Amino acid sequence: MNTNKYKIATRIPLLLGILFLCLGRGMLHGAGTVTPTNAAYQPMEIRDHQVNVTLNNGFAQTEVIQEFFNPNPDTLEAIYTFPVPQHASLSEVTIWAGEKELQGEVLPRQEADRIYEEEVAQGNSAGKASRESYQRFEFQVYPVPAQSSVRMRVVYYQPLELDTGVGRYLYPLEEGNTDEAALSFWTQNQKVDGNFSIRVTLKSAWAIADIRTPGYAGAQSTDEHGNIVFEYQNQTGDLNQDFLLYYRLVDDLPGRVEVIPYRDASDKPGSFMMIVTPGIDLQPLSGGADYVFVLDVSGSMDGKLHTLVKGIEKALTQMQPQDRFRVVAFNNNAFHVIESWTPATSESVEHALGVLRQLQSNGGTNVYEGLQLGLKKLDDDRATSLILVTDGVTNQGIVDPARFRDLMQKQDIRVFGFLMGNSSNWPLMEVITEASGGFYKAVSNSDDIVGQIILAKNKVLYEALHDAQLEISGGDTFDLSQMRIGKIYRGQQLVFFGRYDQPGQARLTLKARLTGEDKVYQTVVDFPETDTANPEIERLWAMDRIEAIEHAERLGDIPAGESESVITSIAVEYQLVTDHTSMIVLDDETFQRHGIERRNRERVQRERQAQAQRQLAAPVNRRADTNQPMFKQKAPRPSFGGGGGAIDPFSALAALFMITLSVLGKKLGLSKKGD
Amino acid sequence: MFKHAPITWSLSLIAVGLHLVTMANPSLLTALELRTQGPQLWEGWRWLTGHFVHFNHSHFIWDLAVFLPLGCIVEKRTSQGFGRFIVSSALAITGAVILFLPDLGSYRGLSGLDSALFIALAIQELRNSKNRAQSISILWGIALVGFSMKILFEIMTGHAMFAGDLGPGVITVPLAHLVGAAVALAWFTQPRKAPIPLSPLSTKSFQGHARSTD
Repeated sequence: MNTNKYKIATRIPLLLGILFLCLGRGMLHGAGTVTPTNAAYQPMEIRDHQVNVTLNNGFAQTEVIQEFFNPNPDTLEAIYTFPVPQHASLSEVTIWAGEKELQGEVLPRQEADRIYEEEVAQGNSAGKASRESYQRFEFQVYPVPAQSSVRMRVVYYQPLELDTGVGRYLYPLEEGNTDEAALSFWTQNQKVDGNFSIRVTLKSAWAIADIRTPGYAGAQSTDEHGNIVFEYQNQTGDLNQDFLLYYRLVDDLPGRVEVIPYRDASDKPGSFMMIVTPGIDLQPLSGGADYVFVLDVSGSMDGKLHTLVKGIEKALTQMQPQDRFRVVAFNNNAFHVIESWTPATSESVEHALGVLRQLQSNGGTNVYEGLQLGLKKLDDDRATSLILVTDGVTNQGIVDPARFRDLMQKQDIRVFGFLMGNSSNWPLMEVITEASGGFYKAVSNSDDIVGQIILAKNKVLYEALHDAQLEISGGDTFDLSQMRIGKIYRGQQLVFFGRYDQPGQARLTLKARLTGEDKVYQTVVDFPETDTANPEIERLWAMDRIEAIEHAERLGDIPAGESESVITSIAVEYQLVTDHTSMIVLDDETFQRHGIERRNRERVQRERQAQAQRQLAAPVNRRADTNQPMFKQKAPRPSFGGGGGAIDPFSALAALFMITLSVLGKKLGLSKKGD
Repeated sequence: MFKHAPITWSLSLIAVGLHLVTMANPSLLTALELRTQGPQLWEGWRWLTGHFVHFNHSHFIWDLAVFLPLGCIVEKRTSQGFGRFIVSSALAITGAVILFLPDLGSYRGLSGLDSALFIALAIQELRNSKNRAQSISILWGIALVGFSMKILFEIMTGHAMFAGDLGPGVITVPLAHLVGAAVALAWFTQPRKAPIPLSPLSTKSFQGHARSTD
């Protein structure tokens, strides 16, 4: 046994190592195995990387199966990390080492750490999965014998949201560059030496108009249940480009309420996920508006700056001449790029773009000072929006989220955030945008930046509902998501979680104000006595609850000790990896030896059984307000991004064939004699 | 090549030039695309330039791949009025998009003109059927019916039959194809004082070699 333990992380988008410049894009990192810089060992090889995704109405299940090969002469410990996908609940880890199958159970973090260290010290097979804040999941596996392979399976769930009828699923592969300590320690091998495949099954009760996977040219088909299946396969690929799948629902779908419940017995509380897609006639805003762009040009934005500039360029060129703009940038300190309010004429936009293209990324990140400078010089007579573009990694100046909330609440300004790259600080962005009644969007380098700007523009340039609040009467509901929504923008979908004790009908009421007028939208939904089709809803509800507690703790509304205790209790009950809990991965015998209750095994069995049943059936329409629609209007169309006269490849080839026939007809003897 | 289809080649070169320039400087795109709302709607150059700028490389390549050969062959076979036909088609498509799709925001792309050219060629081929093997005429008939069905399907369902690649939030506009086809139909089937000069094209002439008059 090798006592010189040596850590190898894989598929992380972490880390330093090979630096390269790519058309001025700066440093890029992909996923891959990593070894400490200057280590004597060869990095682990990735022999296989399979990703299976099921998008099932309201939520996504992502399964990653990966095989590592240790090419070294010694037994090693492997570390595998990847960025935490937003709102993801890591639920399953299975490791196959030789003939052993190890499975995971969530325990309080310290207990999991202790057991793992004990088992490793005794030379036994063990694994552990833990979460490092919003940045990454980390997996440790021991032992990986010399010249041998280990396979690992990871499953996580996350809720899905549509924006103006367009869904977006991200499988993060590109490094977010947000963890400087890791960047300086690790070097990386991002190459897959075997098979790299992605398979997405898109199950939707609503018809899909299009799907799009920028940068991944795979095959699209339809299975026997009418589900869309996308498959990508490559040999010896590099894990350095995020996989993104957009799907667009057909136009003119109704405004609607969908409820996905789970209740396995009438003596237990039920859980539910509620998706509200408003069908409300929100009109375009008239008159000019002011926009202040606050841009992060710190070192961690290296590799993302080109996307930032591209996005701002698109946003500026979409503005009307009656609009005005200013530009502020920040790294260690904030500074003006365009200091005074400038009308968005062609000349001034062109000048601004010239200045923006000169920006370089370096230094620390002082988001607070950037916002402070952005909030100066506001004109009370004009509606102002602040567009913040950052990865949110605050490491200079004020970093306390509560101070950010206080700063934003001082001004009547809407903040629209673009959160760049993986491992970005979405919890802070959530605080900032929530306090200002704005919204934020996560943006990958692989995103269609034009599309993201267009979707955001739909919100910025249209009326919004104000003081929106959702109420549920009946069902004895409890432990609900935040129901005080604040503003609802055009195309925005609302996702809520909660629990209920009383099956039967419940009245759902959405109250809001639109241009000074009170608006009330109502319907009746039904909570079933039992419904066991979607057991994953329990974990998603629990993760939503945990995030709400973390949010309150960040703002100082709950003491840290109290939140840790509550989070640990929920996470262990519902088997979720959090900052305070980890998943220990052992064989059955070792679990028994440690007296660990097999809660996750039971939960996983229920989930797999339900998934197998769902696989055999067509997607179920979970619309809950069919009999009494909550909204009279249709959901907004996703078409305001423009349109094009486009010849698709199939039609183009058909036309070219006919042209060829026409031109070569004579040569081929297809003309009549004498012609 | 150029001398047999000067308009098509000139327009294609303009499209290539605009694509290269706008890729390097995307802000130009918003000055050239057709706008269906606001004061930019009345900036007259957009009514024509909108057809020659594109959303991305794929959009541009497929549109031009069809426009260039179709334009060359139709222009060569049409002794006069080809320029007027192209301008009329472009303006008709522009008018229809502004009138019927004001919410679209912006429009780009050559494919409305591609449609017009395709129908023009189909009509020429069918009119010229006496010089062609029957199988060719049947194929053109099938192509014409298939094209009409495709447009009908797209108009009725509101989305493209085959997936295009314009980016999220950007839709294909079947109306442009319909209007382009309608203009070609009207242009090439109207009664004329003199017969439409149709000349079966040899491979050599299409490749730009000198040829005698037919």
